[in-house]
Amino acid sequence: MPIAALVLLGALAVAFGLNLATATRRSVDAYTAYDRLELSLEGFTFTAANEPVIVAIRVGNPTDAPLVIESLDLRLAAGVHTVGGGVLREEHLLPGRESTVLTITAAIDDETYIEQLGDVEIEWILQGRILIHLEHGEPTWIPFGTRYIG
Amino acid sequence: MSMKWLFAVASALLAGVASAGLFAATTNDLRPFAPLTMNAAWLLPGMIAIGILLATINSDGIWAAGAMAAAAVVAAVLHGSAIAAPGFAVEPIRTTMINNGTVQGLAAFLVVLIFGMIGVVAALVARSIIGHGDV
Repeated sequence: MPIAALVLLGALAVAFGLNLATATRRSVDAYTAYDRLELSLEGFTFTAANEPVIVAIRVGNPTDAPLVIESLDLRLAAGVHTVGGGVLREEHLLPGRESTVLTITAAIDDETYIEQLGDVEIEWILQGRILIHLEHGEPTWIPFGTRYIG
Repeated sequence: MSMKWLFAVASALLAGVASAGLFAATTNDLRPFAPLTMNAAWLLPGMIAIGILLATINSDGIWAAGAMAAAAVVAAVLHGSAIAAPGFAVEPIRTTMINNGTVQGLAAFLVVLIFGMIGVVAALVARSIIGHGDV
């Protein structure tokens, strides 16, 4: 009886031990991918305060596994003053080691503030977050931020 | 080393690994990454079953209880380390993950110890009822 129980416990330990080791490896891979996600500002087009701002962001997949971009939220600030933003709610499948350009049409909510800045160069602060989903793992929001002067 | 020691050490290590793996399959931290997943409702009955197996291997009550306590330590270290592992690879989340691993490891220790011990006691009581041993 003790030997049979030991064999049964051994079988459980092998099965669950492999489960633990695989889950740990995948967890490390996922967090590493989230940390190394490549994000860069590809384009920023501002024409007038009452026109939408077109923002192009390049997203690169640093892993060999496919990655799903589920959503992107963007907030626009002129200097320290938040003036608008935009969202992207389309799913994009990004194969391993490839990149894509996401185009967000952002709206300016505070037109008066932008208009009163006149023709001076505006320091645009772009802050946002992107929801990505690796094959093994839960969807995770990755925050980002950059600036553009123009 | 006597057979008692051998059985106690082997069963503690195996029960610890099995318990940590059961945590990975049933709890939120590692379940999204685990190939084998189970409903969280299986965690506590699973721990009791592991305790019963451990008491079946170690016929003496004090050896079974000692092995169960050692298994709880092994499970806590493995489970906590597995949760904290990404923190060693990714610097910005190091503190968060190590903190989370420590807390979850401690929780795992208590769950394995309490519910594993319930299984150990149940097995010992059952054995004494059917006349194969003393509690």
